[in-house]
Amino acid sequence: MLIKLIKYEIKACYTKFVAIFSLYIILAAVAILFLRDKDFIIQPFFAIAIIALAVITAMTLFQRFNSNLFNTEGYLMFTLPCEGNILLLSKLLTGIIWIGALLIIVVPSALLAYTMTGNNNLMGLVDKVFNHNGLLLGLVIIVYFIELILSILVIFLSISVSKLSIWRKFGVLAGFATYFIIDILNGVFVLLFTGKFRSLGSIGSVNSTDFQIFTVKSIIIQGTYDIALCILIFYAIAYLMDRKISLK
Amino acid sequence: MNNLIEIEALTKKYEGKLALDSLSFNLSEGKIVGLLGPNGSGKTTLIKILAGIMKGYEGSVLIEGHAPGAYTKAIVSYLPDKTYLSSWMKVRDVVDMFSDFYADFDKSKALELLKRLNIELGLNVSKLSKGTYEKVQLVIVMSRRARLYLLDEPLGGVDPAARDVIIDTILTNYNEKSTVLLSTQLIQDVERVFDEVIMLKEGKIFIHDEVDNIRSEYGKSMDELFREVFKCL
Amino acid sequence: MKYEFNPTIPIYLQIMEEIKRQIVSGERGPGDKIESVRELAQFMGVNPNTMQRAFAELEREGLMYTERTAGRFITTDSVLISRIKEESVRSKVAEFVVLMQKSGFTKADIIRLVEGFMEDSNE
Repeated sequence: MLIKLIKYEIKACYTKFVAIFSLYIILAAVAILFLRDKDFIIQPFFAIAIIALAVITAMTLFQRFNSNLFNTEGYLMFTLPCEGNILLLSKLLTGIIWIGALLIIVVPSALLAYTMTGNNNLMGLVDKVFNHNGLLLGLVIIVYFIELILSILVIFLSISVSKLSIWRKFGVLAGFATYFIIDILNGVFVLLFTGKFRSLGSIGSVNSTDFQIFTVKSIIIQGTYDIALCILIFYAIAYLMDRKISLK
Repeated sequence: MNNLIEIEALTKKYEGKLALDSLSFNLSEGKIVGLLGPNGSGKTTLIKILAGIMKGYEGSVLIEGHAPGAYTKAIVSYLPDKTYLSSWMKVRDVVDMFSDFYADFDKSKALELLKRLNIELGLNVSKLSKGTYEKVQLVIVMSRRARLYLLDEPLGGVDPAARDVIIDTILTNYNEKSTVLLSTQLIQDVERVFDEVIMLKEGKIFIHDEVDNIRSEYGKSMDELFREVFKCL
Repeated sequence: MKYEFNPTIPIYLQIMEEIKRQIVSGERGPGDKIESVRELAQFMGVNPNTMQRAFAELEREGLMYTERTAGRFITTDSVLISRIKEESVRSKVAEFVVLMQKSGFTKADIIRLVEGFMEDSNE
């Protein structure tokens, strides 16, 4: 059932992604091949292009979650012979697939462009920070990834909360409120334990001071906490979908 | 004969209104049942609850002994009063998808019905006329070998010839193990196929009886009775 | 073909009437096999349960019988069939006579008019 759901989810979106990724690849190729010495074009281009792709991917993911499950297509989805958690999981896994595709396409091309323009700072920075500790680097990447999933789930939860009928016309407001409340609660919790306030959206803004405080131990604790939160929110969403939400 | 549906004291409040008020009834298998009532009487609410897409009700709803959930969704075939097919799909894709998700889906029957209705498989569903779209949805729903068919206003917005096709499809699909619950406002066209009718008035059952018994007792058609009962509303 | 049923009268009764009419007119002969419940229900555009009820009643009245493996058949009882034949017209006769009497015709008038009509239509 899960595989089938993912299959149809991909079928519904893939043309869009193929189109934008192809466009990006073409433009990136053009940029790298013909404009490599023009720094003032290359850097902004890649910055904008990558942000644009990320935004489109994110918006597609959330817009699909919203319209496929809670608009009229929901009449089909919620009468499929499966529990809500399977539907949720299919959306999450498909999202991860799209993000994976995004990374596979964006990261190599960006690195390529970066190195070809004669910049070598990045590797030096990473080297210095992690002190040749591959394990730490690996764990950071994993936790980074977990926090990405966590962010997705919190947004799914906010969307789900906004669909409850108790809010009457204020559903969207309730959805936003949910996001901010969870963000603040999470931040406060992390603050109490690590002395640092981290917002959920902070995955996109990791900076060098962050790196200086990472140790294997702290990363593992952070990761475990994040996983627990993911599971909690996952089941909260599934509960809402199965027990509380009725389609219009 | 066991009851296919057992409902007891079903109550549902929706946006401050009492949509269903302590409803209790049973339906056995092998029946075609009409669910009649004006707008707002609770018909769609009842069907949605049976389909498993409306939650948060009080009372007991059992389909083949199970509360609405993954088990019942596998034996219930639901035709909503909405367009629920994804716009990227062609008719062929819809058939494939249902075939994929439902073990009781009879693909060859669906293809045959679509052919008989002259519906091209390669057409995109969002480009179909309303009548054709509704026929596709009906074919898909009736091609499942389900225990319970829930049809929410399948005749509205469809031309009379298509209505005949729909009624015909429902009749030919009949089997002793399945029950069809059909809600409609267009009673005249379809009352000849009902075994029983349930008339809902303001969330309560006004009448639930075999159709021929009602005809004997009241000397009226379902359509006439309906108009009489609800003329004040 | 779909039959037009009067929706204010139980359909199973109307089905029974129709089948009786077919027996009387000879469309269904004595001993003829009848279609299955499903087939005839589909043909007439009615619910199979309704058809089943009609069949059960007709069997009870002796107009149909079931032979376990072979199916359902029209009775061969010719006495019964003639009785049904007369019964089926009796109401029409009653209707006619009452109508004529209400319009002021006497018994002699009625007989004269009927004979006159039948002679005319034989030409």
